[in-house]
Amino acid sequence: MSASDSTAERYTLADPDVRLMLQVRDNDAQAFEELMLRYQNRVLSLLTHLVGSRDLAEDLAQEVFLRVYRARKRYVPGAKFSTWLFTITGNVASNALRSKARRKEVHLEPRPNDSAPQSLEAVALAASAMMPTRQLDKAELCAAVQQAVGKLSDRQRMAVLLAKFEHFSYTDIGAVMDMSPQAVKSLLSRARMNLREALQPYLDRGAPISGLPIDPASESQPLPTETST
Amino acid sequence: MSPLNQPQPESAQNEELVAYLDGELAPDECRAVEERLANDAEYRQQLRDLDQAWEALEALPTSTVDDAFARTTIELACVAAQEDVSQRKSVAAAENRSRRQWWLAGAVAAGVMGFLMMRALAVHRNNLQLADLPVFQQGEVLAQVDSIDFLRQLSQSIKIDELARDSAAFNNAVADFRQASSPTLAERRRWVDSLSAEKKSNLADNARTFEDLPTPQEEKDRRRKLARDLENEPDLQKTLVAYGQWLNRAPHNGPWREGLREELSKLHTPSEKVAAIEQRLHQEASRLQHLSTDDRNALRREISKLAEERADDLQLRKSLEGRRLGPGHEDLQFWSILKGLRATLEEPSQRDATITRLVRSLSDEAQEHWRGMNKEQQHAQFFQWIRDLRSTGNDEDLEKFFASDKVSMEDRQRLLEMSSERMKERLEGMYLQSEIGFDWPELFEGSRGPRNGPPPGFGPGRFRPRGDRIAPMPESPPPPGRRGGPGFRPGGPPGPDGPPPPDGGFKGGPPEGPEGPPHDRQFPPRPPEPPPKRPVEEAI
Repeated sequence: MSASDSTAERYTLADPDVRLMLQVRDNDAQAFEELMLRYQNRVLSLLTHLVGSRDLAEDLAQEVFLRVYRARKRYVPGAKFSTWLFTITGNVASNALRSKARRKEVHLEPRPNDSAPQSLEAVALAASAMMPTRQLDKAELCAAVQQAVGKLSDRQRMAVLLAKFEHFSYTDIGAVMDMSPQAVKSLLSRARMNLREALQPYLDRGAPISGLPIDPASESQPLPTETST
Repeated sequence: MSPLNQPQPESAQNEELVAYLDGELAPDECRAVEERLANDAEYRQQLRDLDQAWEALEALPTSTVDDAFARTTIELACVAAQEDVSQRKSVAAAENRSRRQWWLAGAVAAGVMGFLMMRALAVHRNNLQLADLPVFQQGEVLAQVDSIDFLRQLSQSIKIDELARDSAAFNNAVADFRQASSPTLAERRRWVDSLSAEKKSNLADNARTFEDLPTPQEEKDRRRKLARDLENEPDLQKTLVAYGQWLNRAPHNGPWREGLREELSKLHTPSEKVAAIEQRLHQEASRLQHLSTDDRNALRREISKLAEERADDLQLRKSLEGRRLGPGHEDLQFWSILKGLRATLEEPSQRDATITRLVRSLSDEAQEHWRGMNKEQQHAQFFQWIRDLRSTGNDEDLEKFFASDKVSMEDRQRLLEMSSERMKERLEGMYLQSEIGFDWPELFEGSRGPRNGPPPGFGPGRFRPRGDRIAPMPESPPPPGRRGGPGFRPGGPPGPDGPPPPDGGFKGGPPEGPEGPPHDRQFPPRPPEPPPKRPVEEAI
């Protein structure tokens, strides 16, 4: 990563995480641990949605932080720290997905008898039938959304997750994914149209969406999971 | 660019809408989209659909690492550091560097590893707690905040000082929260070190409480994330603290607070919740508390003491002169004192100090409630408390007065049209005016909060001497917390064990008939009340 002195100074001043990373560069173990504490759940969540497996995501999250640690001596502030961290996260996820694709082990869409979410049509039909309770609505919604996100391409999924949960601007997403902001705009537009299309059966027939809290029970329900063949 | 990526009219339109939703359009593009939205129903529907699908993503679960994750990762980093050292050794050997440099690199790396290991094993838990410091500090209110959007809307709709009335406590709490949310753990640790033993102990209690909470891990993480999101939002930190103080104020404890929690949990959007809080604030402003028996006695004692201290006061002396009421009329004696103190309580230069002194005689709870109000509310509350002092009045005297010719038929009719509570208030006002010339009628106009009208206590009276028509007044519900029962109804038959009506007392129902003045007809006589179940003395 290269950056002019003024850019580095600007980010150092504006972003406390950049300051922490500079301390890590100087072998400050406490700063490294602090950075981990601040980001570990965010990185893990992103990876879980990207690779579809909690266990794999945890291994990959560890790899992300190890890469950060190994790269500490080369670190120069050229952007927000989170942009740099999620770039590494994206690369680690892409590598893992490529490697798994080669082994044909990735099944982002669930198999019929899987414990993973039902088909979207089934979910939508169920929502319109005799399922009045709010708890059930939340579980259905969670399943439907996981299904819809699983249907996005890897890049669309990455862009959506960064925009939605990290509140990244198009420029930040572009920095992470090595794209122009205009390309991010197109990518996100296609992703959101796909999401709308995928969720439409549920949204038309299902319960109200807005403001629903996440169902705690769904935490234990994995995303469309990998299975060994 | 592949043909698929060539923007088509429809995809260009979608991109425009998505960028609009993401806040990524230039101002002129934004205006163009808004103009089209205003005129194109299909376009609006498309926007709604996109937005709804985006909102649905909130349902995606979040993932949380366990405590071992950071420790294991740090240990792996140690291994990585060791590998780095090995590589450096190899490079150094290859370049035939001096033995001294070799050992120096090894010593530095070993130091780093040792430090990492030590921290991994011993300090890790402390750091986890330091990372959670803001959650320990404001955990209770974070539990009541669904999203940062809620706080944003709250800060836009409600002023801080409406929520946090004790500015000193508020400023201290904000300063503490900001220290607890310092960007680095080192700063947080320094702040914790600087705390008094008592505050450290409280913090440790909060930490244990949070860790032992039976709530799902996901909820704990949600609070952590919220606290983290607030780290760069100093204004919203203030709003959070103020909201917490409002939730914790004394009148909110118990059923009121549970009711609020239940009400808010049924609402989905931040704006709905903020509207509900605004409504509660509105209710709160008109929510005056009543004195407990102990506080009532304490306030009476303090007022008498004040009167003794000012025995030289001309007005006070004049008010007390000629009052030889004797035993059984202590209440009238007390109101005579209060009448004499009126000038002190209305004189702007003395009013605040006098009221503050009297309020200090009350229980801590009453004082805290009073401190939690603004000036206007404090005045209203003070006069409510003064009104509360009436409750020791002699009902027998009131009954006699009601039946006497000192109350006109017209006034009787009006009194009987009021609720029991209200009727008693007004009758007492008339009685005191008639017996001791107590002309402070605002004290008997019932509990009206500042939002529903001017605060009672100051200003021209509405109550007129005997023979004048009683001004119609809005009915107010009986104040909460008063002793129950059907209330004072002169003339109602006593219960089986009650005393007989006093001689000459008003025994009958309300006077009715053609002799009533014409304007009274707009208030049809109330149907006869059912007899009270208990003797009058008990019922009040």
